[in-house]
Amino acid sequence: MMKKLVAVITFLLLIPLAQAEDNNPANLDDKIQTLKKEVMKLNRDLFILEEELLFPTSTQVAVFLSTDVGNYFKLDSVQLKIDDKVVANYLYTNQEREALSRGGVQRLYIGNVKKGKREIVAVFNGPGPNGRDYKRATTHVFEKGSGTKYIELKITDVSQKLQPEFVVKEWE
Amino acid sequence: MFVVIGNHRSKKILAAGVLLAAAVIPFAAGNAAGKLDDKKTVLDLDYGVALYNFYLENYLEAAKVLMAAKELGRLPKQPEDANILLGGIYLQYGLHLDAENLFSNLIDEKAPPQLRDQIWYSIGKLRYQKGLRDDAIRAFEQIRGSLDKHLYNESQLLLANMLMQKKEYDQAAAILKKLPGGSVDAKFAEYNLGIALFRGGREIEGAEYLAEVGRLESGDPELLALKDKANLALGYALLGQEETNKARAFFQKVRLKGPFSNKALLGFGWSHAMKKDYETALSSWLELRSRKKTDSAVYESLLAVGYALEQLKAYPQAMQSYLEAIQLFKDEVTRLDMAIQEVQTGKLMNFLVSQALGDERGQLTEEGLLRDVPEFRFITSIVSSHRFNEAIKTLRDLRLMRSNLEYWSAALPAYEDMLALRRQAYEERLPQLMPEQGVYKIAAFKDEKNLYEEEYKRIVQQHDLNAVASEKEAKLLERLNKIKEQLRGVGRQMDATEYGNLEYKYNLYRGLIEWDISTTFNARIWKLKKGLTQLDREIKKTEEQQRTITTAKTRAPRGFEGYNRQIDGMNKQIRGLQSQIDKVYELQQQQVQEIIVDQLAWLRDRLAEYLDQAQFSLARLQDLASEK
Repeated sequence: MMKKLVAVITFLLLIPLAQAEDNNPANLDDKIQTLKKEVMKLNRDLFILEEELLFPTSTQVAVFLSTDVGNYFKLDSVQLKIDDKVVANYLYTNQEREALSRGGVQRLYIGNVKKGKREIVAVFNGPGPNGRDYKRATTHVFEKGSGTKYIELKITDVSQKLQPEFVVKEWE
Repeated sequence: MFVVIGNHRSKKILAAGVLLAAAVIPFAAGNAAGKLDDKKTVLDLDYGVALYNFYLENYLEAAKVLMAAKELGRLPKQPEDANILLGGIYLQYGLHLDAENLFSNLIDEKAPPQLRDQIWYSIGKLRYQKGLRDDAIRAFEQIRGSLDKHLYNESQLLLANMLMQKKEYDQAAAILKKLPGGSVDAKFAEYNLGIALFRGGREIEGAEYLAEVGRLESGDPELLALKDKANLALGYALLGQEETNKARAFFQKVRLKGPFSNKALLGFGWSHAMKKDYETALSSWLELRSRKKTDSAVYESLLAVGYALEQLKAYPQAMQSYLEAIQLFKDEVTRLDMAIQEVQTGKLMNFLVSQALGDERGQLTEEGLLRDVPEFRFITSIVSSHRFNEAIKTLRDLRLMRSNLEYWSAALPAYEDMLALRRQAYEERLPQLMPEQGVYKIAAFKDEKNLYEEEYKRIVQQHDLNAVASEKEAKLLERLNKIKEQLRGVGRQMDATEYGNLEYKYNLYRGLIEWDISTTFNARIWKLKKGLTQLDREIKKTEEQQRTITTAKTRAPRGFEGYNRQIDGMNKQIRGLQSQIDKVYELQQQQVQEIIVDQLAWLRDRLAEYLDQAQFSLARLQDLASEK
């Protein structure tokens, strides 16, 4: 009995435990990969269809938000108005702020407006320089034509002024 | 997990695995020398949106945005960066084959060596986690040495680990020997090297490496556990060769409160028992018997205690000990049978997946599982394995995919309603849109415009001042013409001097007006030309609008039908995918169930064997007692 036990334990200790992680049935993995890819493709097609149906080019306006590293402003929330009507309110989590500071761009709003001159107002809230509460609004007038209108709200650090800057950029 | 990475360590690396693709991305902005955490440059908005979702670990959303952007040509400035990001998303989503295909261009041609190695590392790691050993080895073997030092060491450790699984010990040892010393990874490599050499038949050389690890000084819990494990392995190896004193020395180096103390206590007891010192053996086994029943060494101690008491001729105590052991083994076997049944009915699976769904990364924690399901103490080693975690993660992904399809399935009827409304609105407006009538009107306009053109040419040719006179000037000229007529009528009756004066005035006024017109003739002509050009433009614009209306009239019904067909097709696709997901979910669930049941059954068989041994020993002692 004694030798048998010793032999079993020695075997257990010296065997690479990863043997328990033997080859996964590759066929099932292949099937799952194919299925995931199919779902991805279908999501792409549905996304395109949704955009075409809900937000046609002639009326579509999309507002994006991006930030700099955020030394002088920590974005807590944003409110967005188009032609004096609130169209979006957003509260940010730490993970979302982190994603923005790493270069990610948030699609804050997508909707429809008629052709002509439109006004967009974004109100940003959060601790500013020295951690004090900071609220800034930025206004921008744009011309909605027959093509899609993309507008980016950009929060950047201005080192010389030790202040954040809120810039509105229209994309082609 | 194999000794390369202890349980605790493996979890850390699993978590780091989530950022694997992120490690690939930093080069996306075309900055091959960039640091891993560099802020990415966004030149195409959709790339930035996909990046945002990627960082939030919404991989399906990120893929959707990126793939749609590619399809719609919305990534004109960063197509390559987008491909790298998509490859990263594929990796995070377990699509290593697609990732490899996508990266193949970069890997073969354009990628800087550092990026190339990082891609192969990420692909290899994912395959390793999925248990696709041969594919993982193939990927790791592509790494050339431009990788971050820590990642390179890890890749080589994993590679050696898989070669050991394939019993290619010499090859594994050769890889491990090349790894530089001095780091935590190096200690794990040293331990593995010892095991590889040992398993490859070079026991003495292997033992030297293990002994080296067994002597290490550190405050790091992972390294201390590794140190324990090395001493334990050496202890049992020597015990197998009946070198009891030497073996004992190694067992004594294992910490009493460490994860390997149970096995060390068992071995320590055997090192005394083999020298017939059963009293000392008994004391260590009694200590072991009182411990939590989570380790095979503790179960074995139940038999060992009876054995030692028997050898010390304490027969009643030995019988009592066997009786207690028999009861415990029976209870445990019953619990294991119940646990196996629960796994097979799918109850535990649902719990596991819901636990994984509750976790951001879809990871299971040993603490959480043990707290909620006590039976998990039987399978803790499986729960911390990559293969098990990957399988659970896949189940979680499949469930999320199903929810995603359910969302679209609910949205599509709304789109159909919307299309029906648009069609209705179109059909109501259709009678107002009569492009045929518009065409006739335009033809009339064009004829009229041609007349104007002819007239313009005549005016220019004949330098017709009257034709370009303003309304006021025309009226004045008309009045002058009447005056001229009147002068002619009364001229003979008038005094010649007076007539001369009037004629002079007439000529003067007419001359002044004609002078005005003449000096501004070119400007007036230009204005006329401008008007004609504008008219031409307007006619063309109207023609274009008419054409659009005509096209829309023809195309709109086809567009509505097209969308309807598209929605029908998508509905069918959704249903098909849902059914496939259900089937694959079932298969994946079966696979996980098999992993768990295999482990539970293995343990059950072992305990049943112990039970037999205990019952046999008890019967033997009872026979002995009855003989006396």
